[in-house]
Amino acid sequence: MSEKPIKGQTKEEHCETEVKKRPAVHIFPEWCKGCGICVAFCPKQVLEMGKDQKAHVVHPEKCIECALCARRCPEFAVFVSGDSIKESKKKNGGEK
Amino acid sequence: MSARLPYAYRYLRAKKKFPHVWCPGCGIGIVMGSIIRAIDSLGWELDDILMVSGIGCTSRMPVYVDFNTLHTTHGRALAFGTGAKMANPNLKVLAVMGDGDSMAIGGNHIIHASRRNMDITAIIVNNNNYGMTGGQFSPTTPRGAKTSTTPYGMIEPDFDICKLTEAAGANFVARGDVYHVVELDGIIKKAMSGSGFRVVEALAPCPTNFGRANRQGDAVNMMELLRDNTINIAQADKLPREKTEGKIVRGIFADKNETGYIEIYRKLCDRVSSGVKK
Amino acid sequence: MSGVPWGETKLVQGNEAVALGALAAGIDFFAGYPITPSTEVAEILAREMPLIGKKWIQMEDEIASISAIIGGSLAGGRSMTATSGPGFSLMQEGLGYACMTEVPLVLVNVMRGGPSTGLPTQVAQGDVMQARWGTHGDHPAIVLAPSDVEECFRLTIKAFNLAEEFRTPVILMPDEVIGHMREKYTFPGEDEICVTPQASPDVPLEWYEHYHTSATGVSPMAHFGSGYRFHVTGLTHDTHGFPTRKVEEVVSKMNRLKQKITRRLDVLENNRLHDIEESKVVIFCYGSVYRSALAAQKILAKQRKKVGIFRPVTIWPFPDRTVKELLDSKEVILVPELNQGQIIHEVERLTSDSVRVVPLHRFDGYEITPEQLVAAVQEVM
Repeated sequence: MSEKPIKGQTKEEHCETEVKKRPAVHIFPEWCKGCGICVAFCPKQVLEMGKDQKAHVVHPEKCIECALCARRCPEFAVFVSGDSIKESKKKNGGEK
Repeated sequence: MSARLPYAYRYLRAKKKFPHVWCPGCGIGIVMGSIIRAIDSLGWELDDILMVSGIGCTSRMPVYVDFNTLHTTHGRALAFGTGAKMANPNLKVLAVMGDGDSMAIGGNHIIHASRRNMDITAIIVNNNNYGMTGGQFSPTTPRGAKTSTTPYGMIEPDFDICKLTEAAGANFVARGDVYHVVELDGIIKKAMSGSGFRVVEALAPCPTNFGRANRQGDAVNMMELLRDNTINIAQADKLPREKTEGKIVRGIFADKNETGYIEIYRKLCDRVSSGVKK
Repeated sequence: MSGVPWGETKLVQGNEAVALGALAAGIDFFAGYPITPSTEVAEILAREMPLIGKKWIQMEDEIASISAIIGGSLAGGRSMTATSGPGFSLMQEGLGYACMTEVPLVLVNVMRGGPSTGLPTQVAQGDVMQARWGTHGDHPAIVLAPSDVEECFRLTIKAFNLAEEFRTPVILMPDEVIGHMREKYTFPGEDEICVTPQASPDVPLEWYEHYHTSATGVSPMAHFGSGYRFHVTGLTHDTHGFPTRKVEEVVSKMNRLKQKITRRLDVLENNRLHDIEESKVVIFCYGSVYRSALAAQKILAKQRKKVGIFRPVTIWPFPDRTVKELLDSKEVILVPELNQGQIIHEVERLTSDSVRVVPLHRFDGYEITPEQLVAAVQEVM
């Protein structure tokens, strides 16, 4: 996070509010075909399948921006802000 | 949706051609993402890239990417690519093919592209069957597997794409899968950054045909199979044989630095033309 | 020797003249596979092209060869392949692709005896219909048939030019006799040869349509790597090259493929006519048979028998209008062919029942002799 924590906030609290304000992971429902790969393999259970058979972001605050959902989405329907290739080495946490 | 466009969209014909034609959970889109990330991190110009393909599910890929794109006849991607590379060596040629396209009808071409060390990166999406025509067996269908043309199980042995191309002389040979996508990103990037003939086999699920015929479950289940039934070459080397038996090994199997055909031909021209009056 | 012997007089073989014609036309890329009786074309170009930095490759088969030159042509090289009968059969796949995707290229098919392996070292004209209809689906065809060494040279250049102007494959079809015979030939000077330059689009990048519909049906083609990015597919496509199944776009594409040929038949039509008007009997022939026809005409003239000769140099598109105009009033048209009857059906199609269309077939691997023609004419006169 670029800004300093507001006075009285712990660093963790600050991060949570930041993420809630600006969810890191986005789904394009028009392109999602509901295969469920992003939901199943998200290491932090950020995503869930909706009744519309499309993935939805339900816990944006848990997102660690590993971007595995975006990389494993066959439809290019998932986008994680801040995902860039240069950072991928640090953030490949969920891949065994 | 007003979300910002991901970096990948710079490389896609996003407004014209999406959503794409592939079935839900098909792994080809994931491989396409890996290719795009490799290109993005290598900083290649769109104008310099030629993506050439044959016929089949994987071969529909060129229509979705904003490069020079050539969708050819069944099995011939490497032959078309060879001609384009010869005529314009500045092109960075990527051949995307399926297992049937590259190993059956295009088998002759891949052997000779490997032998020549033609400067092309071949990305082979291996989903163990012909998806587009409804799931017939291919040269990489495992023994015993059911497909629409092996209703009693596959009786033929299968091809190992990596061993075949390595033996035929390809500079670079590697295997990845779409579950281990970060590893696949790295393999494809490494493949693209060298010269000579370079092969990446990317294992990918075909839930609609192969998965259904073999009761492998949905896309998620098939991704789990890739997670559980493959092993990285470095890990495999450390483990006793009984722990790796039956697992498909991922990783880089050949990484040579032999001179590619384009450079060899250029040297030939230089050698023989020195005595010729211009 | 290196390159084209401009202005020199030499004893030249037909296949050699084809290879030199390709060099004269500025060939950039050749891909081929060895096959009798066309191999000399590949051999001579293998020797000559690296000397001038041009690209030559021997592929793993004929399908790969034509595929490679389509790729080469799209990437900006003037491209050619050479083959014979069985190889020509294999190339039908690529030929159809090049027709559909409107890629200029030159395919040389030196005709030998068939079907199958047939008579590899001997002459035939059995590929005439395959050249027109061999690949699946409706498609345009431009096919040129030389009858001597000079034409092997000049028609090869013309084939490159037509390929460029019509954005389509052009087939040069010498028969084995023409490919292997040697004649004295004085090459023209370099400035006497006309080579059509490769067209390139001048519209802004975002306006470019790979299959723009112009008045002639042919628009300037961009090349891979030029900055114009486009999609090429053998699927039926729209003007941008993307696959389509929309009825109006499919019909428009198919019509344009046909009309780019039919609208400019005058540019393509090329016949050699001898004494047609004053003769009641006409020999209709092409390729090496034409040479025998000329000799037979002389022999018959001594016997005070007058015959005309009609020889299409461009055999496809067939010269329908001229044949109808000039031959429908004749008594007899003799159609000698080195096959069991192929082009004769076109002549029959275009003439009334009152005209006797008489076949003369030879398919044993040997040429039709002047004596055979003389005897055939005497029989019908």
